[in-house]
Amino acid sequence: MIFGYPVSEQQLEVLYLFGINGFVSLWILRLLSLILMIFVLKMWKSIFYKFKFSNIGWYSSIVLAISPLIFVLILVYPLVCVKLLIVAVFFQKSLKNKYYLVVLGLILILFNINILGNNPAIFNKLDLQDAQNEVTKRISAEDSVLNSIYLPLAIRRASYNKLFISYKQILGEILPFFDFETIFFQEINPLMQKSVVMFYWPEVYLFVLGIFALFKLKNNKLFNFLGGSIFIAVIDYVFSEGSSYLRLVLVVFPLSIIIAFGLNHLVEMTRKYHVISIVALTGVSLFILMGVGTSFYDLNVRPDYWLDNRPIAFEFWFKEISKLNIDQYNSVYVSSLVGDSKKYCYFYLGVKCNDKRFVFKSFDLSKERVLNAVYAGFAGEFVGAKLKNDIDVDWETNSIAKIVNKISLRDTIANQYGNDIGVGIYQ
Amino acid sequence: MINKLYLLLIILIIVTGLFLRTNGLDQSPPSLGFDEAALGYNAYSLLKTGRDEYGNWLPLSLRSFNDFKPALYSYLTIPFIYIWGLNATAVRMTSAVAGTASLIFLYLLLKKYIKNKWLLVFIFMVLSLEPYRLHFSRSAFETNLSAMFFSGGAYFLLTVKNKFRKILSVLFFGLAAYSYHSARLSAPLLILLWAFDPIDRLRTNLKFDWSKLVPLFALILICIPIFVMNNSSLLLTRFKQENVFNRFYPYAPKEILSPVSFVYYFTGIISGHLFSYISPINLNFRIYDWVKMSPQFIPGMGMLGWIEGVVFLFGFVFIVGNILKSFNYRFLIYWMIAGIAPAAATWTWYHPLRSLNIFPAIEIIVALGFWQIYLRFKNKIFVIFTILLFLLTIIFTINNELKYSAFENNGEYQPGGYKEGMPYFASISNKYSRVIIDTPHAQGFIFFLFYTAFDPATLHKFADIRPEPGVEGNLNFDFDKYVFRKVDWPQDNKLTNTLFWTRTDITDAEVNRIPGAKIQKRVWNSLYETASIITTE
Repeated sequence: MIFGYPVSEQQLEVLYLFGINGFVSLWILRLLSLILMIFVLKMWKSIFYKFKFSNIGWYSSIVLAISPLIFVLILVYPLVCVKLLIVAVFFQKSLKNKYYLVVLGLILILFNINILGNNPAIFNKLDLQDAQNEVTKRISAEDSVLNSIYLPLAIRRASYNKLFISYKQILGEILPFFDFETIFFQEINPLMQKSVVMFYWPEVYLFVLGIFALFKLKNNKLFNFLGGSIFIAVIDYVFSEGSSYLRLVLVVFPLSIIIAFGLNHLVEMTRKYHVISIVALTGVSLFILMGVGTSFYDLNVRPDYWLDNRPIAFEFWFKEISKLNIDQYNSVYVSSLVGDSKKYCYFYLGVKCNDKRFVFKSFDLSKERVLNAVYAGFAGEFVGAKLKNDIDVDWETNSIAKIVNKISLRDTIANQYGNDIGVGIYQ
Repeated sequence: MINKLYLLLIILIIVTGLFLRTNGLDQSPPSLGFDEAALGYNAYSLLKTGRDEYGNWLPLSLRSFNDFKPALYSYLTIPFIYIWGLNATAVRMTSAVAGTASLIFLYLLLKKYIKNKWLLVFIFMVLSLEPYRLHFSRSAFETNLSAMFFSGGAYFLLTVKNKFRKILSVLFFGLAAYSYHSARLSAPLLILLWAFDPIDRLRTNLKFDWSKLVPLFALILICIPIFVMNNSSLLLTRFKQENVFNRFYPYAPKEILSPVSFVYYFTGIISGHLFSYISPINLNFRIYDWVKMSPQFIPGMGMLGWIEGVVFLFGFVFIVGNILKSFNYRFLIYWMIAGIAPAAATWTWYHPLRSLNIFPAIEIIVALGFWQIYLRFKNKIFVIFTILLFLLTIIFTINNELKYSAFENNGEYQPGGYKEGMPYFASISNKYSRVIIDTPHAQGFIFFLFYTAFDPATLHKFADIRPEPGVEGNLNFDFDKYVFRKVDWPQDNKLTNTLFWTRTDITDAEVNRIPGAKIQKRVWNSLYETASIITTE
């Protein structure tokens, strides 16, 4: 069940900051995220009143409201909801003074680095060390080929130098922004990447129609606003890290306008009783409805497929630990391979976690162990890590700890340690 | 004077293009892929006997690996093999020449869309050296030949003013259909869309001019022999293997399978296939697994340069926005739809090889994108900076294709070692009564046939024992004294008077302790030791 999805790291950070825990506070936080998002959509809609496109504001807000991405942000990412609120406020301000967009760009960079704790890869590209390594790798690779075509070194050096390769690498950070597969086709993405549906695929047709409708309009002010908001989305993408849907979150807003224009155009055409437009509108609407039904049902049936598996691991460990009488044991080890297990412990077990018997770090039972202790971790922590992540299916038989319970996660979240997690007792 | 300079620059770009496409064809890619070897050997067989490798008299489709390749590429390769013999340069020269010839159509098409002369020269220079143009011209790809003919057909169709151009258009489309499967659907579809102009027809009620369908019927007539002279069900073998219905059924994840999700996912997959060809990241940067594990792989680059994918987006937005203003813009959309259609019906999401026909249209859209950007940023510093960056990118692309890809493209699809070792292997093979060839490649026999220039007439005698049409996968077969199988040295060292072509993990000590056995040669490909030639007395 999607509503049973456990507390995420971002939610934990917020709750920890206020020194509160438990499921009631988690749901209050989710409610606050929902209120924030309603504010965001309301502000977004009001921008188009200023452009005198009230329909577009409505359509755009509806497109956003039915997006699984927005639902997931409310459910899991409160800090991103705050970020969207900041963006909405600055977008409104930018209608009067475009320099607000510059300020917004800077705020987003700071927000991503300081609040979300991102370490954008672009910084590594800017210091030229990666470029130096690639130049060396390419030249030595080419020189290792026997009987290769001769090219004067001066020509090779023209493009094989730190500056140009750095330019190439920086482009490599920016270009994945222009990714239709992630934005429109996540439901059937060929890369099997971990992401959330941003737009349903039928909306891509409205997007193309929207471009046509926008061009007919010839509204420079709107073009500039759209260009500015896409530029901000690029800045946010480049100066962030993590899942593609979180990095692309800001592009959803300008694209929803274009989709809204497409929808509006189609609706206007139907008013002229244009048969094809009536068929098209009916078809697109039906398919979008199918998309809403299918995607939300899928999200509900397979939350572990769509969302981060780390919170699921922590939930399992602490629920299993809570079933044990921990007073009987000398120590309780909880893996910290995929996050701060101490913070999760406070959420699930409260002040019990202050007990000195709790140890929040990764362990390797094949090398060192403590007698009469509870261990909660990945299969690889019980039987030793494997470089290729190929832990035996019956790993628990090789574990010196008696495994109380185990589950298999859908994703590999701790490479080399296998996809199984368990709780065991070593006596 | 200015006109002469302009003309000189255009000629210079084409001549440079020819040089970069033909220089060192036997060195990069460093070895032939099995399809290249098959096209070459069939051309050799046609030259020597008038029959393909199975002994079929002047076929229109080559049975080859039971994939029934269109035969035109092999026919056009015959003169080069006649002049230079059966080698990589001769086999690839057809593609290199086709790649250069396609530049002429690219220029003519660009001239229709870009009116600023100097901008046109710059754009033509950039586009003539796009990664895909260099890469596909330097290997023997039937699709590259087909794309050249398709460009010609599209150009004459777009500029049709008289019957002569109509005839030329049909002729070029026909040649495209005889060169590669996908044009057999794309070409008639493009003519149909050109004739109906459906986007314009949505808003107008003009009476349809049925005479516009004459080129379509003419093309169908031209293509009839392809299906009549072959078993048409066999011609569809490739489609049967690769179609979207075959691979994805039942489309939806099993946890949520229902009639609704079935329809939703299937239509989504088809839409996704269509839109994948306009997704900028696919055009300039992303490399899918099925592309990486094939000869179409260009290391570190997409089909277009890095920036062009984004410029394409500007061009695309421009033509969609102005789609009703000019037929020329609509024609580009029709070209894209027609070119994508055959690829969209297959299981792969984005497959450049199967959709190469659309790339000239994509390039024109890129050119329009450049034009739009130029109109907005005419600033001198911006222009100089842009030219400099593109020149450096072109140099990188050339380096990448001529030198770096020779390093990256060793492996399953470009298996080296045969070129280096087979001539020696063939020269000593007549001394032995049994020859065993151990190759990890599914179609290893074709490299043996190619690099030893095996007598086609002798091969034809064994056509009946070869795997039947419809059989896929490993098509190696034993004939005469030649056996294609894995060598099990502890057992096979007992065989006498035998010549082995095998892997390198059989050590000197293992061979030397067998009386009469000898390692004749360790064979290197362009990077490492890859095969051993061993004999037993």
